[in-house]
Amino acid sequence: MGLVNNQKAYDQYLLEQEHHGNMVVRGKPMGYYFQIRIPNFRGNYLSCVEELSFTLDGEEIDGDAVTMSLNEKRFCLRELPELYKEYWNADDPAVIEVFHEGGLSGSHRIGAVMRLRYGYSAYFGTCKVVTSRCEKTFQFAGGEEA
Amino acid sequence: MNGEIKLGVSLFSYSSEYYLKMLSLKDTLHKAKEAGAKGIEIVAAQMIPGFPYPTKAWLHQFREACEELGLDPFCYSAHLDSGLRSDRWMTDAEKVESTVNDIRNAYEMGASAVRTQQTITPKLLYQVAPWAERYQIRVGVEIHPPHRLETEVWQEFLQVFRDLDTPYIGMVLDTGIYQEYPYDGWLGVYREHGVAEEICDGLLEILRNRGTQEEARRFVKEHGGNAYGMELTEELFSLYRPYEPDELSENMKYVTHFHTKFYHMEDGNEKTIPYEKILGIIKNSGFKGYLISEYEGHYCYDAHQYPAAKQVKAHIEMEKRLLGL
Repeated sequence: MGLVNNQKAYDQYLLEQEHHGNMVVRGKPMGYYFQIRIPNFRGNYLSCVEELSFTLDGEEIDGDAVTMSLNEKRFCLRELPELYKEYWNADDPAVIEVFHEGGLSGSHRIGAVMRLRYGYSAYFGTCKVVTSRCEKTFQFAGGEEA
Repeated sequence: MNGEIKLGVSLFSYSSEYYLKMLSLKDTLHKAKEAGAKGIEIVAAQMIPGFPYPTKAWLHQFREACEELGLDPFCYSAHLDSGLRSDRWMTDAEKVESTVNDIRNAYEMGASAVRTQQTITPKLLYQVAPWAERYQIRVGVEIHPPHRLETEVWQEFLQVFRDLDTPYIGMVLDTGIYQEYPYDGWLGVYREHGVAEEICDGLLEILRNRGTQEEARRFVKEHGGNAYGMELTEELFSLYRPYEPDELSENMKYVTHFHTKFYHMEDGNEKTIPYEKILGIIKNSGFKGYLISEYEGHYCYDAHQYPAAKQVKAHIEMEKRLLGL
């Protein structure tokens, strides 16, 4: 896999800085949310997301605390490998919600890693799998943390 | 005067601007029109909402949007995602079904061609052909780098085309298979990763002089190249070579259309693909059909600095000039 390929150009768009904030449940901040986009020119099936993981200020976020909403449905990360009928259009941001008692306030660094399989690119008997990485700083308000 | 060659554009050319929402789908059609295109190719997995199950209503609207501008919704460009499932590859039956779905979507869209990919495998074309004939949609398997016509699987595809001998099964030929040298933006990424100018220049020189990959590897080692220098060597020699004549002229009747690939237009020319030679062969063969401009420089060149619309326009102008249209 060369340095120059169609995924790398889109890595910077994996995390979107618009539309993020705290998840409020019955008046209390219970976590936070942000949006991601598929880092490629075309969409893909959710079953082709081989890995999706996040960090908050450099610390790994527990995947069990994360859900991903797309196509008006909410999925657990564990479900992704089975979702070969669920297409993620490249135009559509997916919403990532993370359970995190008290939510977030102030400046935080979020990191994302996505390994995406390209089901059509199977020139040598295996599919091309590309790892995209992105890290951005987000400003949160309304959390209960100090 | 050859009035049978028609020019078009793949909306994939506008990928960056479309992804960044600088251009809507309708905007890309207007840009295509302004560039002098007649035929439109759309990558279904990229721009068709609801893919792979778009509504008939959407497909009909797309057709109307094209026709209002005097454009021909020529080709539905399909990916054959044979590895979409995590637990197994697509079966042969599923590959055929997926392609029939593409043909039916293309039909609703008013297209006359479907681009599919080599993952279809040569033998399954026997099952696809009756569907292509029923719907009168030409199905073209795309030949794309790193493959060339002499690649074993393409020799098998050509054999099947000859055997089927139907206008509805053939190939989409991406002129990227004739790319001789990398474009500067591509090399630029390696330079940014610490590959010295003299190493880039030296490797290009070896390639130009038809030197061997072994020679190139030695050169990089001797000049203290880093791991990216070695990667550059491998990529360079697997993707590019100075032009060598092939069986294109003899197989022109199986070409459904061309993807006239390009990366960067400068002074009215694309310097990495020998267009004068290739277009000469196409023109002299009496080819009737579309040359679909496919801009792929958007992976390396910034859309604000080099808008795709300008690049496409320059490319179509080059084609007209070289074809005498």
